[in-house]
Amino acid sequence: MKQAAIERIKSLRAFYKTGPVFSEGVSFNRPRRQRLNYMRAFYRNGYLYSYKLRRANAEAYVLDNMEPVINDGELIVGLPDLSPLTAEEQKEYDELAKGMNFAPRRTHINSAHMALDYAKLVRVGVKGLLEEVMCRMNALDLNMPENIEKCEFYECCKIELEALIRLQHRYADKARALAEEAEGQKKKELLDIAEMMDRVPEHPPRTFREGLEAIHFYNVTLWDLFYFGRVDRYLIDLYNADIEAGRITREDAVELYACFLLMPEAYISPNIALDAMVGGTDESGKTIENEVTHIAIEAIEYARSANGKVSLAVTEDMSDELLKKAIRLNAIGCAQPALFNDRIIVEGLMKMGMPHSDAHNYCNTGCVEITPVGKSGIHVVSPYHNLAAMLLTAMENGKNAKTFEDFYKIFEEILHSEIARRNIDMNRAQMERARQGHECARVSCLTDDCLKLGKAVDAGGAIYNFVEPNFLGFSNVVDSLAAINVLVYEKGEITVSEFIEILKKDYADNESLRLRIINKLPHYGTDEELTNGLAKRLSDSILSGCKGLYTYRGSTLVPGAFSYYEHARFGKRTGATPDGRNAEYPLSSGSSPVQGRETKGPTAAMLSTLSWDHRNFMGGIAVNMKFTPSCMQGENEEKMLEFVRTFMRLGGFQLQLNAVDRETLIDAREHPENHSDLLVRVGGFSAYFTKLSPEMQQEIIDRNEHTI
Amino acid sequence: MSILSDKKGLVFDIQRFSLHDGPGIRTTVFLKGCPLKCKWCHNPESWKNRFELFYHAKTCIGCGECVGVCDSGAHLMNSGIHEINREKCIGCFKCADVCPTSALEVTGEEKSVSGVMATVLRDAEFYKSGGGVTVSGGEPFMQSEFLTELLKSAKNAGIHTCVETSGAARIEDMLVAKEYTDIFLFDCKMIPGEKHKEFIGSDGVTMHENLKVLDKSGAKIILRCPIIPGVNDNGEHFEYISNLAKSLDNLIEINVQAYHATGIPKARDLGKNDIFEVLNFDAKIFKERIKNELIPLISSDLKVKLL
Repeated sequence: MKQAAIERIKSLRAFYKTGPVFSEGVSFNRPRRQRLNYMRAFYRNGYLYSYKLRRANAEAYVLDNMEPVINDGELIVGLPDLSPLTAEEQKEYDELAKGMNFAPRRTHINSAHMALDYAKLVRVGVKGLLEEVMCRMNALDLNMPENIEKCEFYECCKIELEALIRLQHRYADKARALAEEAEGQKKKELLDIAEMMDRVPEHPPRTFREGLEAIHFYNVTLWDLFYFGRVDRYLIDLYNADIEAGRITREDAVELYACFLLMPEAYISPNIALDAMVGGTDESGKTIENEVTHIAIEAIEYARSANGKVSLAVTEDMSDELLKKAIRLNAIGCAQPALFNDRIIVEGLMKMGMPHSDAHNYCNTGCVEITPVGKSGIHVVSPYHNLAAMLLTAMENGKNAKTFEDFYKIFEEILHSEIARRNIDMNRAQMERARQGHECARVSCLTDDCLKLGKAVDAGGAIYNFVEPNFLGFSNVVDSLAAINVLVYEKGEITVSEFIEILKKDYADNESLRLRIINKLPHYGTDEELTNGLAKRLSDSILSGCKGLYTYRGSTLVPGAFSYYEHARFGKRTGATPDGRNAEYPLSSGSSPVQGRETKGPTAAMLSTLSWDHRNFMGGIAVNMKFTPSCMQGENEEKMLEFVRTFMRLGGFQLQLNAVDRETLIDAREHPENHSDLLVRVGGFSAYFTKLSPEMQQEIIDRNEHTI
Repeated sequence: MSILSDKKGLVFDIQRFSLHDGPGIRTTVFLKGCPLKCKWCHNPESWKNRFELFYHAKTCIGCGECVGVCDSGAHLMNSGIHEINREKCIGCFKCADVCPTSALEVTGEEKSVSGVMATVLRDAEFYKSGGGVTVSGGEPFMQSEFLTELLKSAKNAGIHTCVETSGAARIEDMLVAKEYTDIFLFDCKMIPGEKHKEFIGSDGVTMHENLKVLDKSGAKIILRCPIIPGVNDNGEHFEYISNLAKSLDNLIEINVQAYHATGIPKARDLGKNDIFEVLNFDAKIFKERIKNELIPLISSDLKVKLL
C-alpha cells in the first residue's frame, strides 16, 4: 500500500482514539446529545401522536439536529455529535431521563444484534425503500381495521427515512462549505465527499466507495449494534465495475475498507465488535472467495481496529492463501478474523428447519451468535444462565442422592426449570416490545418481511425470531461433575454435604484437596473419556431444556455457550465450585476448558471441545486457543493451517487463535496456576510456559516484545 | 490387536501437537533410557531406564502429606519447609500419589504398545498433511524391541513415523526399525574424537558410522545438530556438518538447534549435582550468531533450518 494511504489510516486511528468514545467511554447506545434531542422531541410531541409515531418523530428530530461531522483525512464520513453537554443541558437531560423507561427493567431482553439487509440498501438505496413504503401504504384499505396499525408502521418508516436523506444532504453541504476554505488535495477530497453525499445512501451506490459509505451511514445512526452481513456478496459488483472502469486500484480498495473498518472506533465503546462476515458458500453450495473477501481481510492489518471487525466463514474449498492470511493476521496480534465453520453453521441452521436458501446467508452479530442476514429479529444472550450456580443449588438439593445418576438428575431438573422460568421473563419482554416498539423503524425497513407485512421487528415482522439463551460456566460444571463423581461416588472420600461445607468456606483449610482436584482429577480439555462424556451429556441436557419451549413470537430457543466478558462478572458472584475454582474467580471462558486445565496441548483441548455436537448451538460457541506468535509463523504457519482445517473438518463451530502478548506472559510468570495451558515456542520445540525456568521465561517475554 | 503390541516399554512423556520433531503436526513419544550423557541434555529425566522422582520445590506447598506416607523417612518437614533425602528413597513413590500439587512427580511410566498407540491415534486427524508419530528419547534404541513394535503398529495404522536417535545403538537394530520408519532424525552433536567423549560420554565414531550405514541402506535422514556455546559453536564443526551432510545420499535437510537451558531446572529437580551451565548466556544473540556467522559455512546446496 502507498505510504500516503498508510499514513492516512494511521492518523485516523490515532485521532479516533483521542475521541470521547475512547477517553470517556461513551456508551454505544445513542450518544448524549442525540439522546437529549430524542427526549426533547419525544415529550414535546406527547399529545400529538401515537406512542410509536412519537418515537419515529423523535428519531427524525435527532437526525435533523445532528451537526454533520467531517474529520480531516476521512474517506468514509458520518459520525454522531459527541460534543459534551453544557451544565444546563445536562440538567435538562437528567430531568427528562427520569421519565424514559422503554421496557420495564424486570423484563429486560437484549436489543439489536441484528444483521440487516444491506444488500438491499445497496440495490435500491433509501429512495427505493421509501418508494416501497409509500407504495405499500397507499395500497392499504384503511377501512379495514387491521390495516390501521400497518399504516402507522409505514408512516414511521417514511418519517425516519426522509430525515435520514435530509441528514445526508446536509453532509454534502458541509463538505462543500469546508472545501471552500480548503486548498489542493484537501479541497479535492472534500469535493469528492460532497459528490458522494449527494448520492448515497439515498440512491443506490455506483462505486465501491459509495457502497461502503451507504452502509456505514445508514448503520451509524441506528444507535446500537447492527451488523453488515456479507460485504463480499453485495459489494463485489461495485468493486469489479470500478476496476473495469479504472476508477480505483486494488490498493485503493484496501485503503477504503480500512477507513470503513475504523469508523466504529469513533462511535462505539472500545472492544465491542461490529462485524462484517466474508467467505462461506452461496446458494448452490459453492465457496465464495472473491477480491472483496481478500480486500476485507487484508484491510484488517492496516486498520488494526478493535471494534470494526471482519470474520471469516471457512469452507473446505477456501484457498490456503486466504486462510494463511487469516492465520498471519492473528499471529501478528490483530485478534481477527475469527474463523467460523461454514459447513457446521449451515447444517446447524438447517437442522432447525431453515431452508438452505436462507441458511447459507448468516452472520455473527457481536461475538459468535449466529443469525440469518436481513430476515431476523434476534435476542442474543437472553438471558445469561449461570450453570455453575445451578450446580451449587443441585448440591444443596442433592445431599441425599445415592448415585451419581441420581445427582445428575437433580442437577438436570434445576437446569430445565431455570431455562423455562427465565423464558417466561423473556416472553414478557417481547410482549412489551410488541406493544411499545423498541428498535427504530429503519431497522425494520431492512428486515424481511417487515415491509411486506407492515409490521415492525418488535411486532414480529421478521421471518426468524431466535431467542438465544447463553450458558456460562460450561467447563466448570463438567469438571465439577467429574470431581463429584470421583470423590463422592467412586472413591467415597467425602459426602456431598461435606463438600458443600468445604465450598462454603472457599476451601479454607482444604487447600490440598483443592489442589488435588486441579492436579490429579480429570478435566475437560485433556481429551479424557469421563470429562468428554460429561460435556456431551451437559450439552444434551441444555438442549433438551430448550426443546419444547417457545418464545412470544413463536420461535424456538437457540442455545449458545460463549461468554463475552460476562464469565468474569458472573464468576465474581458465584461461590467456590467443586472443580477447584475459588469463590469470585471468573467462570470458564466460553466453552473453552477451565483456565489452566488444558495441560495436554491444543489437539487434546480441541478434541475435548469437539466431544459434543456444535450444530445444536447456533447461539454461539467460542473456542479460544492461545499461542505465541512464533507458533503460528514461518514454518509453523503451514502446521497451523492444518490445525485449523482439522478443527473445521471435525465439526468445530468457531476458532479464535490468540497471539499471546507480553502482558499475558508476565501474568503467567506471576500466576502460573492460571496459565498452565500457555504453549510457547522455545528454540526448536514448544513447551508449556509455566514449566520453564525463570530465566527461560524472561527470555520468552523479551522475545515477544519484539515479535508483536 | 495382535499379541505383539502388548510389549511394554518405559515412556517418560507423550507430547501431542509437536511442531518441531519432523513434518506436520506430530505426537512425540519419549522413551526413557540413554547410553550417553550429553552435558547439556535438555531431557535429563531420560537418562535412566527406570522410574525416577522429580521434586519441583517451586510448587511445594509444605502440606506434609508425603511425610505421612513415606516408610523410609525420605521426606522431612523442617519448620514448615519440606526437605527430601534422596538416599533414603526406596522408590515406592507413594509420596507422588498423595502430593496434591504434583511437586513430587514420578517420571517414567510403563506403557504397552497399544497403550501408547491409543494416545497417538487420538490425534490421527491432525496428521493428514504429513504429520504423524515421532519416537524420541533418551535414546529410543535402548528399548529397541519396543521401539520397533511401536513403529510397526503405527505403520499398520497408516501413520507416518520418525525416529529421533543419537546413533548410539546397534546398527542391526536400526536396520530392522528402518523398515517401519519414514524419516530418521539423526543427531550430529560433535566431531567424533576425544572432545566428543568428554562432553557426550562416547567418542562418536560408531554413531557416525551408523549414520552412514543407515543412509546407504536407503533410510531418509534429517540431520539434527544441537549447537552448544563454547562446545561446538565454531567453524570447524559447521564445516564438518557440511561435509558429513554432503556425503549422505538420502538427506532431506539439516536442523540446527540452538542451545536452550530447559534441562537445568529438570536436572535440579531430579537431584542431580553436576549441572552444565553456560554463564552469561543470551539466547537471542547466540541464535543471531548461528544464523549470521555459522550457518553460512554450510554448503549452500543443502537445506538448513534453524529451530
